[in-house]
Amino acid sequence: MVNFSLFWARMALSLYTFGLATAWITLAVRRQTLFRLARGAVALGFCFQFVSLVETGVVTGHFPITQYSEASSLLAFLIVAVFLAAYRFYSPPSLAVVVFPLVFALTLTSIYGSDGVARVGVGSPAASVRNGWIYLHAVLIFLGYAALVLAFAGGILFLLAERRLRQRPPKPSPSRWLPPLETLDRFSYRALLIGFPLLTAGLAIGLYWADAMWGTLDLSDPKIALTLLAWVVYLLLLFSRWSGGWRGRRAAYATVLCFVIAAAGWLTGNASGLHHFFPR
Amino acid sequence: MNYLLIGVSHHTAEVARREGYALAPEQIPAALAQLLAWPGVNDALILSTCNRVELVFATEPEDWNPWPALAAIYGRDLTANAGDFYCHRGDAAVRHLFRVAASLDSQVIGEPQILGQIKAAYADSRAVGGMRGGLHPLLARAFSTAKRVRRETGLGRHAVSISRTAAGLAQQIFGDLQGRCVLLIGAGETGALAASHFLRQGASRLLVASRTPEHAAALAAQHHGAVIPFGAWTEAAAADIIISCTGATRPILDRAAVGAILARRRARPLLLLDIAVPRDIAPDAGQLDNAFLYNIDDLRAAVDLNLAQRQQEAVRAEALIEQETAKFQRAARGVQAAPVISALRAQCEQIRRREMERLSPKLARLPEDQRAFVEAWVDTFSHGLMQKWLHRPLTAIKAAARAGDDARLVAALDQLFAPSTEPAPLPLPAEAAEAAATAPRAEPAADDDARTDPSPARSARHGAG
Repeated sequence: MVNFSLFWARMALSLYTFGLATAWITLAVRRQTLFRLARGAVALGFCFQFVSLVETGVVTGHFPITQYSEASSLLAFLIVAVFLAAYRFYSPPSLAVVVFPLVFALTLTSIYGSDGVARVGVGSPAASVRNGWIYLHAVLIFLGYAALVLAFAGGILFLLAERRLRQRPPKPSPSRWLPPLETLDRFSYRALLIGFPLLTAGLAIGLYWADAMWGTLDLSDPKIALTLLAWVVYLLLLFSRWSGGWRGRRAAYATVLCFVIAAAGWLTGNASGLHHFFPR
Repeated sequence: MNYLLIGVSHHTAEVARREGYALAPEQIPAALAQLLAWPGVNDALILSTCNRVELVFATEPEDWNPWPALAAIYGRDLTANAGDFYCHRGDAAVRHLFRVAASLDSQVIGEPQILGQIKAAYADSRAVGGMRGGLHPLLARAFSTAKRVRRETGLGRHAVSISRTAAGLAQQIFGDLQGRCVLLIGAGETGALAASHFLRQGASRLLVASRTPEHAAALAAQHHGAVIPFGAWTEAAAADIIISCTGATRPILDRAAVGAILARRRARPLLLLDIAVPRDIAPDAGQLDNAFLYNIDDLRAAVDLNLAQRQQEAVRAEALIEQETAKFQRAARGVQAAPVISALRAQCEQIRRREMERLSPKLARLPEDQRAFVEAWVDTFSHGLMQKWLHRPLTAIKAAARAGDDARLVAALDQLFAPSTEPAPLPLPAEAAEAAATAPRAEPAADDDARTDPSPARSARHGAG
């Protein structure tokens, strides 16, 4: 069977590139209609990426998560899914400016990264991967990450909007691309609220599974350590918000911190012994 | 169509002189009726606002003199006061009207009222039978130009008053003001004005705190608000926007008080507008997270900045006005070219008919059925031939007329009549002018794309066929 998944992934990448460029242009020229084009392109790219993932799965015979490239593609796919779902409820084009580059970078790595899709099917993954729980573990964590990405985008925009309000003399005309402060705060908070149970459940499954497999948890593994740290920050962030104190700027900084830790955890994926399923 | 615009505005006359020319709303219908009946006037419009009086005319003679008509409606001769007036004709009149409609000529550039006033003036004129003789397309274009300027430049976007500036800041923090609560500290007039602006913008509740509870109660009653005791600032936690404007010499709200309010609000953002001098709210309260404090100088500086920005946007708006003026004139010229084109078509059609008639005795020799067939065929053939020959020159004439380019018009006529090296016989301009004079006047169309197409050729063809 010929594997077209790389072709589909490249199609997705081209559309994401187009969407990214158009979203940026939207902000520059301030035409909302242009943004519909960007969103359309990304939605189409999303479909292509889905096809690519399915085909990878069919060809390799396992859920496309065993390699860094596959995981990148899946994460990009889920981020777009969450973005498009969120877009139905809340839709400032400016969020796209933070989210699309991440999607683009992930898709790019999935194609041209060190273990690009081109090498899909080389060898067979360890038997441990052929387990429904680990798929669920990864997908839940990825969905949590996707929600975190949206919260992060909201946080970045919040910090920009807040900075604008603290300028002297103040700019009284609302910015064409920065949404109101409270809207951003609420958006980030909702994204965090949705992401937290997903991330928690994903981590819990992972921990339980690791315990069952190895009976111990290697906390010196950077991926595990950083992800757990991100989760702790996440928990503190939500907790302090419930207790009333952290809102606005501090919450936004904490969200950014949480994202940075999670992203670092993601990037160290290659260095994680536990998350390698192919013999090197 | 000849346009003439004569007027007085804050640029040319001070209010003391301007008010002498103002026309009250009840005077306008009669004055319009008088103007519309005036010889040489096809159409008229009167715009009378506190900053300007403008009379716009569509006239038949190009050099129509407006002064007698003005004397008639004002009941006195105004030629001695001509220095107060500006008088624009043609392009200049079009441009001026567009600038006025786009609020570029206003005292506060970009203020939105003027367009509505012109629309009212348009309705007035229409009510007494105006807007049928040529001003309608001009006004329609003035409205669309004003909208375009508003849409494509930031002319109306930058707030130039303290209260609009404050509302803009509130919008950046809260988005919609719907359901927001405003606390006014001090029941003075300035603060009350600012607070009522927020209420008009959609804020739904007003709280008032004042050292004199009676003042607070009176003001609260006026806006269906509530009174909170002066100093009981924890009750201020319900307020999303606090406007402070008291005569106090020492800060009323210090950092700790603002901090306490924020804590009660569970750190939801709070907009603090301190419009008192000396200041009512301690400046360091603005450093608190989620507290956005602006004092009167901040707001004034923002207004100044916006005024400067409006000036910049005005430059862009002027460029749009130039474009629209040129576009309007092109469209008007396109309408003017229509009689020339129909005359040309008529001339060619006449030649064709004459040739057909010369042919018919020769065809008489043919049997009846063949003759009908040949006649119909020659008719169709010659008509098609004529259409094809005329197509390019007519297109060129239309293009030249739209561009207002006489050289190209001549070239287009050359193209039609001098395909060989012989010098071109030029019977056309004179004949065309004659024909244009007798042809029914083309109805000017509101938009530039609609051109009249009288198509005498087509109707002639149907008659012959």
